[in-house]
Amino acid sequence: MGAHLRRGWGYRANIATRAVAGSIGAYLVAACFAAAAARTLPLPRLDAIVPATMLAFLVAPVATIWAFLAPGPLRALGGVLAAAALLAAVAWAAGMPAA
Amino acid sequence: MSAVRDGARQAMAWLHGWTGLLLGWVLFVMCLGGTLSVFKPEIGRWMRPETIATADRATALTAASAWLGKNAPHSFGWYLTLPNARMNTVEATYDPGTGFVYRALDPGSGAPVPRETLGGEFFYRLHFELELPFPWGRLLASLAAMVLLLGLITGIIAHRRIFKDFFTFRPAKGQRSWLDGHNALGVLALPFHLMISFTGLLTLATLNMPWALTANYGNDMAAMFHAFQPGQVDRPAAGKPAPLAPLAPMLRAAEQRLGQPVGRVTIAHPGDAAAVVTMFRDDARQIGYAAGAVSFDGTTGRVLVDFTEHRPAMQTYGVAYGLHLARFALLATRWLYFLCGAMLTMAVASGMVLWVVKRRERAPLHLGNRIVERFNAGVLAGVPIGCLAFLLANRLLPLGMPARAEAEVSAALSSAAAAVLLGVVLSPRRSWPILLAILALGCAAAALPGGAYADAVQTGVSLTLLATAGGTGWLAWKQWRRPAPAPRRRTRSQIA
Repeated sequence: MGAHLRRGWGYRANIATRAVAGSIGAYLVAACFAAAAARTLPLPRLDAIVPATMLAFLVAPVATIWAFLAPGPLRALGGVLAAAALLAAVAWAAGMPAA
Repeated sequence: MSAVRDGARQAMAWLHGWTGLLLGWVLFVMCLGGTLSVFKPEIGRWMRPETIATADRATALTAASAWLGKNAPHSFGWYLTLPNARMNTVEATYDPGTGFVYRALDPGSGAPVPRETLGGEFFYRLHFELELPFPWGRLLASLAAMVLLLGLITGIIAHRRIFKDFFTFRPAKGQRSWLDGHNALGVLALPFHLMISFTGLLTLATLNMPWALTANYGNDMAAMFHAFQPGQVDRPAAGKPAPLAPLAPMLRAAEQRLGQPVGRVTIAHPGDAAAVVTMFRDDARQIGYAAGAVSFDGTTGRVLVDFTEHRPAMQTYGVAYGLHLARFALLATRWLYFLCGAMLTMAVASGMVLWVVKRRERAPLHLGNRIVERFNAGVLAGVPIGCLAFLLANRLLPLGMPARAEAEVSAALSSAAAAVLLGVVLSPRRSWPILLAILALGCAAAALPGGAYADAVQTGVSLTLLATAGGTGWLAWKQWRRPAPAPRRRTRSQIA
């Protein structure tokens, strides 16, 4: 994102794609991370919620930052969505813990 | 420095700037409201200067419940904060039949105090509800808190020499000075800024990040409630009236069981056969929030549950929550919270100004940034003016006027709106000094004694207001005398 590139529709599409990846996408990653961690951490089901939620608040900004550092806008969007899908799959595979 | 790392740093600076711009004004309101909320009880006392009576917890609780029993018998619940070392009134939230209201009750008579006001509660609610209806205010506050945390992290990454710049301040050099100031304010209290934005997000986690909770509990709300609040009993009203048992013996029993004073009391379904009285440990006694509670059957006074939090994960959450609320803090720590909060508020404000200054020094501002420039003056000076109008309305509105507490809030909102309008209409060269002068004069006026009686709290608030008056007055004077700002050379050559 050098200054020499900051013109035209290509640059705008780049920023718009990264913005979507870095906002909605990053939240999606954090939400899926929270669910996956809550179900997989080796803790009772209530106790697991706390570290899962706390870490999710750190995962979100990291995902946002990554969306703006990724080599290309499509890579950013794809990467974020892939991470969210992977985490959702982990959460789904783990299943809801029994009481 | 490799090109890649420089590029990354630039990208982070870009992200820092744009995300800050996006929610900077909202963050400013939140930071200012939060900073003032540190002294929520003290502001409440300052705003009720006539109410100097004190009573012990049992007397105050008995008086409050007697008054509420007559005046809000059909409220879904009464939510009370008992008097403590910082606050002499009972803070009550109840429904007198017209929707929930918040009132400070006289500790002796149990009736609302004559100078009806939200007091510090106004700033507290403003901090995370932003005067917007549920849940939009809290959602916007959550979004802003996420942007704040992101802004802190990107700010650190974008920062070239975090340690060296910490000792750098080059005054009266335009953009350079604003950048130095912004950096110093951000870096000096960085651990606090990180802590407060992170724990702030956690306080609203059930709203903004409920996915761990739903992943493990699904829709089983009852199990969730019980796991979160084992000290509370959630049961429906019986529909049969029954008098509430005396509360003083319950208070005594709760304090004996908890081994600590009780801070908050909730009474669910008062006057119903299924009434429940819950007494919470005082948050001032430990960092952790809601560290223990005892629930009683409201009609018999029998103990239903007695719970002290010992689960490590929930204690961690409680401590994070308590760190944000700072109810544990003694006077010196409270001032540290206040000063760090003020620095964060000013870091946000200086960041917003820096956005404009940086661009103004390069080239004439285009329309979008001229709008930002004008809203900066309007919001950054206007929101404090609104807060001040709230304090002044408290002194000026007649006692006993109907909906007095709401009128104070209207005064705050309309003054802030008027100030924003002034900032938008006038040129920034004029609006800044005028608004800052209004702020300074308002602070000085509010610092005048509110009654014949002045204790340490009254004096402390007045002195803080006077210091703010001095600071903003000086700024207003500087702004008024400031020569025409950059772009200097361009303008001069255009004139010549």
